[in-house]
Formats: sequence, C-alpha cells, structure tokens
Amino acid sequence: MPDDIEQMVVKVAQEKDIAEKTRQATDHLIRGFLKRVAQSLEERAQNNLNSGRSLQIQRAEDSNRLLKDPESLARATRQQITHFMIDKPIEILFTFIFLAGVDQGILKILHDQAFTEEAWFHLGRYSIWAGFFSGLVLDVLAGMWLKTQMDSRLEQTEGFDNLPNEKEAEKGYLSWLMKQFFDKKDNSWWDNQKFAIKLAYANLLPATVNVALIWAVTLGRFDIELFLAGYMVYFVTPFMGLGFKLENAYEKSAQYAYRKLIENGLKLGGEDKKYLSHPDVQKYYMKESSKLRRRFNYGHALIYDNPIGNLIQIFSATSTALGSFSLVRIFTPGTELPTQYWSNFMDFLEGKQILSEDFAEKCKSIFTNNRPDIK
Amino acid sequence: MKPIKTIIKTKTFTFFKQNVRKVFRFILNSLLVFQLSVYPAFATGSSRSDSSASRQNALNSAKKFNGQVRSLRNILFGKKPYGEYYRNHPLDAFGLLGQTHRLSLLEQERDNLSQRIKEITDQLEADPENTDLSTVDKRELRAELRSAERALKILERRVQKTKAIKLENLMIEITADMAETETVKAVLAHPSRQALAIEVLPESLKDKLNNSPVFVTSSKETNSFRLRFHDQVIQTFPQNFEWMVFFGDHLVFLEAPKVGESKALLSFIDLRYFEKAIGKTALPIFQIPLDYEASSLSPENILNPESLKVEKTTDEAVLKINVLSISESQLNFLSSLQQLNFNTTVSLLQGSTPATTKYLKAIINNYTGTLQEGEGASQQTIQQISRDTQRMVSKLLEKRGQVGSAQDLSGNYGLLNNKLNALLEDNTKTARDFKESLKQDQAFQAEVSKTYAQVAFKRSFWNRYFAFLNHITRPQPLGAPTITSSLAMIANSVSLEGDTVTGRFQKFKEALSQFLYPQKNRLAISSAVLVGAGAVATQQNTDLAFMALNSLSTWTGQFGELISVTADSGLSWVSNPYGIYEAYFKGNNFSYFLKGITALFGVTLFTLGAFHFSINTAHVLKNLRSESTEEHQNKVRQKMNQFISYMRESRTSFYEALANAEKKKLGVDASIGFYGTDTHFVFRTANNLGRFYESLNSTDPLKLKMTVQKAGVTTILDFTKQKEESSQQTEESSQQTEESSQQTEVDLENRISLKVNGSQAVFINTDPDISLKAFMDPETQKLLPDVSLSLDFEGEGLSVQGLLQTKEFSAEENKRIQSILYEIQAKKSSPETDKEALSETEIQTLSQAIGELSLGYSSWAKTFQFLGLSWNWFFIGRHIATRPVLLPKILYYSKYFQTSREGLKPSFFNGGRQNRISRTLTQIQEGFKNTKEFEKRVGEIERAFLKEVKAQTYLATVRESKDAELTALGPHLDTRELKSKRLKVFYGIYERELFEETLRAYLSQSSEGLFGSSDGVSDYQLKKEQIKAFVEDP
Repeated sequence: MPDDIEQMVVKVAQEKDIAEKTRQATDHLIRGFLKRVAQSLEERAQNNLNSGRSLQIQRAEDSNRLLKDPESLARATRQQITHFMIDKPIEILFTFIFLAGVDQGILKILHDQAFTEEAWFHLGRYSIWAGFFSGLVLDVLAGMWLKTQMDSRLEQTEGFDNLPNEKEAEKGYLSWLMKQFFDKKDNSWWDNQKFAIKLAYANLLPATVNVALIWAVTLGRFDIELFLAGYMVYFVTPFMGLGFKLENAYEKSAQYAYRKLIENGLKLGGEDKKYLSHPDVQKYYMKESSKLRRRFNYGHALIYDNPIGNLIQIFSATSTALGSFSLVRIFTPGTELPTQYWSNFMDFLEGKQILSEDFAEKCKSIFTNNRPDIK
Repeated sequence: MKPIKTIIKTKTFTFFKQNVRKVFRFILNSLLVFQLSVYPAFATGSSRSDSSASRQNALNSAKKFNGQVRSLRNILFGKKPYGEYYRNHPLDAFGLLGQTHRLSLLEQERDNLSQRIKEITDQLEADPENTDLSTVDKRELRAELRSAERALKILERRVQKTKAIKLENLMIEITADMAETETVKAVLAHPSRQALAIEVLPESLKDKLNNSPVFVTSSKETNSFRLRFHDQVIQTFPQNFEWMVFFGDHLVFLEAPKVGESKALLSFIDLRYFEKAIGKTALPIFQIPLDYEASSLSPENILNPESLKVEKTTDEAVLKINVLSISESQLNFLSSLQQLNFNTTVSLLQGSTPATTKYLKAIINNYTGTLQEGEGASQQTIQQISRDTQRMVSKLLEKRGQVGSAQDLSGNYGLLNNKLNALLEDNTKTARDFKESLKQDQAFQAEVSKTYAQVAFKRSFWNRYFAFLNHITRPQPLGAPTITSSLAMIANSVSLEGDTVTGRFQKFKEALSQFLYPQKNRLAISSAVLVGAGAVATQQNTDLAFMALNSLSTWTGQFGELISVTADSGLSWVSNPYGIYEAYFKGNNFSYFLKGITALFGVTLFTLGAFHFSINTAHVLKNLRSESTEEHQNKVRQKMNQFISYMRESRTSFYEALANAEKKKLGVDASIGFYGTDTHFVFRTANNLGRFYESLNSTDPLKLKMTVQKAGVTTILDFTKQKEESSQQTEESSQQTEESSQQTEVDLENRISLKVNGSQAVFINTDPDISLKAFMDPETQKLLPDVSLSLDFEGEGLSVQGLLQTKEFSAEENKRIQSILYEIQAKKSSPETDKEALSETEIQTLSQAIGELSLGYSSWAKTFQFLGLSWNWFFIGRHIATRPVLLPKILYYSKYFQTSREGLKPSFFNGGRQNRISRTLTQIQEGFKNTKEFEKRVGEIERAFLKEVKAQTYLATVRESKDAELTALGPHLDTRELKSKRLKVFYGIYERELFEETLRAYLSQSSEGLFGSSDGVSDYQLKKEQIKAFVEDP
C-alpha cells in the first residue's frame, strides 16, 4: 500500500494533466451525441448496479450479508420455522372460517366440481391456490429474504441488542413486548409504513414478474384487478406498517429469553456480558427465544394477521351489486373493470381487422382466461 | 387495570384521539376532493370524447359556474361574510316584524270581510220582501254571511292578538355611504301603513313621500337599502337600484345594468311568502332579467322612474314600466317558480336531515342503477328500461321453455318426471340426479324472482323520484341561512380570480374541512352543497354539480356497500357458526373438503420438503465425498458413522457460530503480547484488526494508525515495524519459537511467526532484520482493562482470515454458567431427567442424525440460507431483467457487475472494464487463480485510492466551475445534484481518468519513478506483468 495516497493522486493529476484532458473530453462529449449517450448509459449502469448508489443492489448486499451472519440466519430461521409451524395452519383455518359465508364469486372456497375455471381440487383457485398456496410458496422462496430486509432496518439502529434490566425482567413478557411495540425511537409505525411502502414501490416492477408467474400457474392468467386491489390496499391501509412494527417488536423483545439468567445474578448487560458468547448460553437462548417466538406467533396469527388479512382479502375481491371486484370498480370510470377495457379494446382491434381473431383471442385470454365475469 | 377515566386523560390517548381524527379528516377530505375534482373529470371523459377541448370546456364551465355562484351570493347577501346577518338577532324569539307585516295583511283581510258583511247585510235588509232575491239566493247569502261573520271573529281575535304586541311600521330605508358615515337618504313605507318615519331626507323627496310614497328613485349616492323595524336595522341589501316600489306583497326594484351589459334586473322580494322569515332570517331577492336590447325596451324606458306607474284594473293591480306591464298574478307566478328553486336548494342543502339523506340515497342509487343497466344516458332511461324488460321477459320465456310444464313433458319437468319414475322403478338410483333436476327448478325460480326484482327495481325508480320531488319542493321560507352558509363557503373557496385549478381545489378542500367539521353527516352535506349551489345556478352548471353529486353519492354508497358485504361475508361465522358446518361438512361438501385439503397439504409438504431434503442431502453427500475414505471392511457402516458425525458437527457448529457472533460484539476483543519487544498492547473491534492484518501482510514498511473509540474518548494506537536493534530480543523470540513450534499455526513469509500459546498470542520474529514495536498511550490503557485473550488464526499465507476469540471460559466460569442453567432448567424437569436435560444432547445414533437432518435447526438454517441466497440472486436477476439497458455492459465485461456490486469502480485492472475475451486470454496466459487473486488485491488497493480520487475530483470540479453552483453543494458531492450538465460530465470523466491513471501509475511504479515503466505499455500488457509480479511477490 502506498505511503501517501493523497500525494500520489495529486501528483498523477498534475503530471498527467487530467484536468485539461477531461476538459477536452467533456467538450467532445457535449458535442457528440453518441458519446453523450454512452456517458449517460454509464451513469445509469452505475446508478443501478453499484451498491453505493442503487437501493436495490444495496438490499441484495444486505441480504447477502445477513444471510451469512450466524445470528441473523438463526433469527430468520427461527421466524421461518415458527411461521410454517404456527402461522400457516392458523392461516388456512381462518381462511376456511372467514370464507365459509362466501357462497358465490371468485372468493367461493369449496366447489362441487374438482377442476373448473374457478376451482382446483374442489378448492377455489383464487382464495386457496392463488391466495394461500402462492403465499406459501413465496414464503418458502422469499420469506428469508424479506425477513433479512426487515432486520436490516432494525440492525442499523442496533435494535436487536436489547436486554431487559432486572426490573423489566421481573415483569411479564407481554409488558416487555408492548414496551418495544410502542417504542417510538426506532420502531414507530410511520417508519415501518414508509419502509414497507418504499420496499413495495421499489419492487413494484420486479414483483409483477413474480405475481405473473404464480398466477399463470394457479389462475391461468394475469389478474389485473387482483393486482390493482392488492396494491391499493397495501399502499392505502396502515396494516403493512403495523405488521412490520409487530414483527420488529418481537425481535426487539427476543432477548427477554435471557430473563432467567439475569434473575439468577448474571449481569449480561455489564460485567458478565462475555457469558453471552458461551455456547451453552446460546443454546439456551435459542430454545427460550423460540418459545417466545411461538407465543408471539400464536397471538399474532390469531388476533391480528389472519382476521385482518382475510377481511382485506374479501374486501379487495368481493362482489356487490356493482359486480365482481367492486373495490376496483368503485375507482374506475363507469365502474367497468380494466380487464373489460382490455377485452373491448381487443374486440375493437379485431373489428377493425388490425388483429386476427385468433391473435385477439389470445391477447384477451392473457387477462381473461378462467374469468367468468369478463366477456 | 387503569380506570377508563384515567386512560382517557392520558397524553397517549389524547394524542391518539387527535391524530386519528386528523388522519380521518385528511383521508375523508382527500377522498372528497378526489371525488369532486378528479373523478368528475374522468367520468366526463368516459361518456364524452376524451379530448382536451372537452376538458377545457369542463374547466370553462366550472369557471363560469364559480363566477355565477360568486355573483349570486353577492346579489343575495352582499359582499359580506354571511355570519354577519341575523344570527342571534334580538327579535328572533318574537318574530315581531313578521307580525307587523302579518297584521297589515290581517287588517286588510278583516276590512274586506267587514265590507263584504256590510254588503250582504245591506242587500238582505234592502230587500225584506224578497222581491229581487230568490229563496235559494237568500239562503246562500245568509250562509255566506254566517261564514264571513265567523271568519271575521277569528280575524278580529288574531288582529287583537297581533296588535297587542304594539307593532310599528315596516320600513325600507334608502341609504348612502358618505365617506365613513352612512346616511339615510329616503324612507319607503309599506302602503298599508299610515305613519311614516322620515329621517334625513333630501328636500326634493319630501313631497313625494308625503303625497304618495309609492316610488322612490335612487340618486347617485345611494348604494344600498335596508329593512328596518323600529330602531333596529334588520337586513342591509347592497344593491344599486334605479327605482323601488311596493307592489302588492312584493317589494320590487330595478337593478341598474353593469357597464357593457344590456340586461337590467327586475328584482323583487316576496313579502308574503317570506312573511315568517322577516325579522328572523335573511330575505332572498328573486330576479327577472330584462334584456332591453333584445326587446322593444330601451334603457330610458326601463330606467326612468317617470315611466313607472301602478294601475288598478278591475281584476288586479298592474305595474307598468312604460310599454312593459307586469300584473300581480304574473309576478306571483314568477315568484312561485323562484320559490320552487329556492325550496329545492334548501331541501338539498339540509342533507343532514335523515329524510333528505334517505331520499337522496334512494334516488341516486336508483338512478345510478338504471343508468348502469342502460347505456348511461339519462334521456334514454325509459327506453332502456323497456328494452331491458323485453330482454328479461324473453329470457324468462326461454327458461320457461326449458323447464316445460305438467302438460308438456319435453322440458325439465318431463325430465324430472322421468327421473321420479326411474327412482320408483330402481331404488338403487342415488338421489343425486334427482337433486340436479331440483336444482334446475330452483334455478328457474331464482331467475323468476330475480327478474321480478329487477322490474320492480326499475319501477320503484319513478316512485322514488316523485317522492323525492315532493320532498325537496316542500316550502322552506326560513331556509335562507342554509344557502347563505353553503354559498359563502363555496364562493370564498373557489372564487379567487386568476387562481389555478389546483389552488381552487385546495381552497375548496380547506373550506370543506372547515364546513364539515361540526356536521354529523359530512358526506351528505358536502354533496348537497354543490348541488345546492348548482341548483340556483344555470342549467349547465346544475348538470356539472349533479354529476359531482352523483359521483360522490354513488361512490360513498358503493364503498359503504362494499364494507357491508365484506363484514357480512367475512364475519358470517360469528352470526351463524352453523354455516361453517354447512359449508364444509354437510353432504358432499365434506368429501370435497377432504379432497381439497389433502391436495393442499400434499403439495405444500412436497414443496417445502423437496427443497429441504434436496439441499441438506447435497450438503451431506458433499461431506461424505470430501472425506478421505480408506479401505474399510464395512463401507456402509463407515459412511453411516461419517453421516452421524457430520450431523453432530453441523449442530455444534451452528451454536458455536452464534456464540462467536456474540463474541464479536464484546467490547474488548483481544490482547496481544509482543514478547520480542517487551511491549504488551491491546486492541479491539474487528474493523481495526482487519486493517492491521492487511498491513501486516504487506511487504511495505509497516506503519499504521489504529483508532480506538470507547465512551466518547478517541485514542490512537501506533504500530511500527522497523529494523531490529536488539539481537538479544531476537534470540529470545527464536527460543520461544522452538519451544512451541508445534503450536505455530501461521508462518508469514518466514519472517514473522505467530504462535498461539495458552492465553497469549505471540508474534515471533524470525527475521533478524525486522522487529515489531507497539505503543499504547495511558488513555487507552484506562479504556481497555487488562484482559487476557488468545489470538487464533485460521487459514494460511496472505489470506489470513483471522478471528479473534475470547479466552476460553475457565473451569470456574464454566461451572458457574452450568449451575445457573441447571437451576433454571431443573425447575421444569424431574430429577431423573435433570442430567439428561443438562447434558450435551450429542447425536450418536442414525435416527438422531436423520432427526437432525429432518427437523434440526441447523438443517433448516441451511435450507433457508440457500433459499434466501437463491432468492437474492433471483432478486438481482429480476432487477437487471427489468432494466435491459444494463445488459450490454454486464455481458461485455465479465466483472462489471461484480465490481460494481462490491462498491468498486470498474477498471481494467480489477476486471470490471476488461472485456470477456481479453480477460479470458489473460486468465489462460497467467492462470485463473492468479488473475483472480490479483484482481482481488487490486480491488483492495482501489478502495484506498477511490476516496482520495473523489476528493481531488471534487476540488478539480470546483476549480472548473465558473459560478457559485458548487459552493452550495457542500463537501459531500453527489453528481446527481449538479445542475450544470457540463460539470456533471466533467466530474464523471475526471474521476474515471484520474482513478485509472493513478492506478496505472501505482501498478507501474518502479525505481525510475512513479510512471517509470508505464509509458508506451498497454493496459493489457501491464496487467499481465503485474500478475506475474504479484505471483512472485504478493
């Protein structure tokens, strides 16, 4: 490594007359269209690929780092296992309960026929296969990634290292959890909501790819209304921020698992901090924090996540006198569905003989396949 | 539990409450503004041509509408805040002025009645012999007399009652603003009253007033008139008028045309209709435009009071304005039209009353429904209904045909009949077919009822419409303040001249929020406000307003319905738990449910399990293959043991990794003793340590500074590496090397050895020319207490991945933690299982190993790690795929993306700007590993350069700029903030040029100087030489 980098850089700049060269190149570039385009592409490439400049790449780097960090990996694994053991069974149970009263439309859950345009194995394509099942697949594939994204925000504020003191340890877990939940400093609802919105907004285009793939398999089409209603609810309602806040509250409260060690005289926040690095303590911590995780997930799934989630699902896809997908209809001119516009447009092109009948039908079916409510 | 009162008083609760209201108001207002502004524009676009011209027309209409609303308000109530009038007026409680006017009417009626009684009496008395009158006539006259006498008595009583309040005259004062004081110029009294209250009057008017104060003309100074009762001014009218007259029950006056206008306004106040409002609320002015250019009238004819006169014909009085005649009945008719408009407006504006809201909602729903069924045009509604009905009837008939009848067994009835017969004949037939038939029948019935419901729905539209009309046109003489409030709000909010559309909407929104706040039914009120305003404006603007109302009402209704349906569907299990049984367990549903749930769980488990076992099996197989397998009698047994061992290690390493991560967080990481120099020093934090290693590994003279921060105090550790002066110390070091040679793990180029010996990490200098020295200042000594830790290096050579481990726990410390854990866990376990609970649950059997593989944390961690990392790559791939413009660079340069991703600047030497062919050639010629290592090393060097290059680039850009643009940017320059395109380009090129030149200079520096060997050598050649040099001397 050079002794004095500054000296070297200055010397190079002077001896090579970088400024003059740059001036000439700049003038050249300003005049030359193609060079300008090249420069612009370079800028764009760096803005989109450099981890210091692109938020997306930064996210990927964050995930990459956290997935290789043992503690973060353990944290996310704990969350994922609990999610599949507790959340998902409760979710399906709630889905069946909440949708029991829906006897028609896209939300209908149980069908007489095993395989129809609305059903698969007697279960509704939308409510179960495109909803629950594709959610499950996404959880399997992307759950860890999302968890590390949530952790990365909290990690910046060192929110995970949060040992209760002796007095706090004496109180119940719920009290400690609530303290973390109402912590305005690094777990405010608005911060979480902003983060959720930013994350969703930045991922809007890429997420479309995912959704298209999953729906292609489960619904046989890209459902514009589901997509619009989903994002409408995501952006407008406060539930995502609240969900993130709850999740972070748990992570901030997880070190409550050390409670008994603290009660037994270990000053883990002070002179006995080194015991945190004892493998037995870590093993004990994993066990206890998993218990807390399970307790938390039970409450979360039973009280918050599933009731709200199911009602939102019904809200975004249910039918009123207006017709199917009433939520979307309310916001569209003439209460027509965007898919209907697409269908009409294709008919128009076909009528004008711009498109052949077959091709127009294929274009239509991208969005209307298995849709009884769209002609 | 805190009592409710305490909770309510808490700051949190108050804050929450306030914010919830704010948020609610914000959302509500935003939605309203959206609906009232954006949505109508869209709605217009859907039904009309979506051209800019139509939008401009809509905007022009809105602008015109605003102007008319403003003028309407000014006409009605003057350019003053509406709150100025008639709120809490002292006479409100008594309505005295109303009584005054009523008294005059009552007395007039009484007089007429007395006169009639007198006439009848005279008639009867004059003809006692019944000569001229027939018996029938006499009987009728007597009946009329009795009736009139009864009415007279009643009137007398009412007159007496009214008189008891001691009324004074109702007067109109014509006033003028004289500088700061207001002067009464004339007084116009009601013709039915005798007494006049004359105040300051011009002499010229006195005669007129004394004689017959029918007409009053205005002078130039007069600019308003006011309604007065006794000493109390009740209402001021700011109108400029040409003349004024009491005509019947109307106060009529002519408003002067504005400059450039050819219309004068014949205005009047209907005193009879608004009798109850006099003294209580504002009196509205009704207007009739007189277009004298389009008629035979001339301005002189209309404006000149001399041309006016009131004539009494046999039937009624007529107001003659030169050639124009308006009779009392005509004026009454015009008044009634205006009243209708007025009443409708008031009714709609009283949106908070349940009746109006109900009617409004019903009519809008019906109307919307009808429009939606048809093609969307109101004038086609009836035709559409007719068409719809025809269609439904034909559909009905078609269904009917399908069903058949008892006589004709060809339809479903026939099928049903056959089925029944078949059922009777064959008892083994299941009831399923029968049910299908029944379902057809049920479908028919459902279709019938649906059709009737639709027909009834349409029929009910007109019923509701007429009911609504009746409702909204009921008399509302006291309704003026309702309009005043609404119009003032609208006029104040949207009337700014020259304001932008956005600005107007913003103002409208603010006004709405102020107006809505105290109201209960906000949506209804706000919609009615617009309709109300529209209703008193012109027809086209009414359309506009109605459209807005329609959209809003429809929208709110639909939204409410959506919420209602959601609650009904989603929460049906609360009201009807039995519904769950019916939905999933009754009849065939249960088998469907079982099939579905089996498929769902099967697919789920397969998805998850496939990933998990594939990933972990791959790990296991990799491990089994990597282990050197010697010849063994029982290979299967050997492999099995290997598998068990791997799973054991896997579990252990998982927890150890966690423990290590905790160690990293500990404040003090290591203390290292340099025995060669008798100097002990301590340092901390992984980052600082990392830099130290880098320096240690380099061949340059070691000279680095290490910053240690703790508790806000910063201290600097200096490390130097210099020529050894003391041979004695070298010998000592060498001795130690020999003594513990078995423990030496890393040998750094045979010059500095590292030995791990107990709790001390020892650097041993084997090169007699080099020694290590370190110094620590007293401040650091205080910060970092004397700790004794070991240093453990893993790896070899230059790729030292040193991990500092804390000292192993002593036996005493182990005992302490074990006893605590025992105490905690023993509470939950029986004495028999205590030992088991606390003992290390080592994996020793195959079943345990398989269990760990299937369900263990360590295995799942591997699965999820793999999935997470895979998704990360998918995420990156998706990111790039959705930006195809990035692809050429990524495909052309082999390491462009990698270097960028690492935060480096792609350059030729780190491979980021070396095309794939060139790089492959380099790799083939110099070796793949060497090239990779060299590029990695260059990357590290680049990081050091880049910061300084950026600083110099910044300075150069500042020098290059000719204005003060950069001074505002501050030291942290982001090129995206640069406004000058030239500077932005300059910055980019300068940075790249300087960076590459510096790197090139550094790599090619030799004894001849900084640029010694670089001139005339291509980057490609230089890189190859550097790789060679790197391999020889890393």
